[in-house]
Amino acid sequence: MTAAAPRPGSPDATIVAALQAALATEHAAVWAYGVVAAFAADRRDAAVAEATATHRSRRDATERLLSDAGVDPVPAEPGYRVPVPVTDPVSAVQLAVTVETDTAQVWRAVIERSSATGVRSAALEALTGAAVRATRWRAVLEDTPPTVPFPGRP
Amino acid sequence: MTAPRPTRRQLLGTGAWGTVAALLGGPVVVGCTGPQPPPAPDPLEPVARRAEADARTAEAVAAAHPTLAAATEALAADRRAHAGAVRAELRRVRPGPAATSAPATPSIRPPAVPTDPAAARDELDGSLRAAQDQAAALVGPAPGHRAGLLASIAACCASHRVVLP
Repeated sequence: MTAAAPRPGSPDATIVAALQAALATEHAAVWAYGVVAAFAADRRDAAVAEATATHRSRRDATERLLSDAGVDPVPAEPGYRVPVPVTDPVSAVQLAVTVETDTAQVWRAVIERSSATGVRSAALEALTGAAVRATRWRAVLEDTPPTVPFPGRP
Repeated sequence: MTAPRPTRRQLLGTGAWGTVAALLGGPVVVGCTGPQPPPAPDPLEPVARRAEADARTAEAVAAAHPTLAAATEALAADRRAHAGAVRAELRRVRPGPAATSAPATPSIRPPAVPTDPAAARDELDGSLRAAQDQAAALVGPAPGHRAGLLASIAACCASHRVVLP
């Protein structure tokens, strides 16, 4: 995603919408991992920090990509509603699974809508990373199986 | 041929597949005096075959090594699901009995499994890495819905690698 495409004159609206949705989800992911960090067990600190840094850098790269294309990137919301209340280490990891599942979906949607090489390869990397982290978090929860056959499929 | 505007073409990325289609379309136009050449093999065919082979291997490992059973049964199920989805896409593009190769039959001998569980595990890990690379390499030039399917398959293979015992 760092290798942005040359500035397109009029980027396709479908692709822009998919990238904006991905950016909005990355904003939410960065926020949500703050909640995860607050409630997760101490031994998850390294994994939480790594996931947070990855989502932050993906968010920044997506903002740059949109700006370079002459599009205003969507800003972060002031706050987000979590799907289930996070009150302890287990619900914190459940939120992490939700974050990664959502992230996988938006990046698969980007892959389906744009085949610009740089965009697709970055989106594939984002989807794969999200699938791997979701699997690790499900393994923490002892979900069986911890994998899904088609990560990112709605 | 009416080419789309370059910016749109670049973002939509119809270039590579459009070129392939144009090349494939050529002989049909000029070759009307001879027999039509057989259609080029679909690039998804090897993806289906590898998924089927991985499923059989994972099942054999599950049967031979109880410590690996939980992970490899889940792996076998997912690789079967991949094979099914890819075969469905192959049939969609080229309907008819000749369009797909025969699915795996029970007469196929079960794959040999290393007697050492660690060796069996490493072999599966290698297969998964190869499967991830195979699917990922095809994402770039594929049409949208295919690219999504291939990307999910690559991501699934990557996620199995991190939970192999």
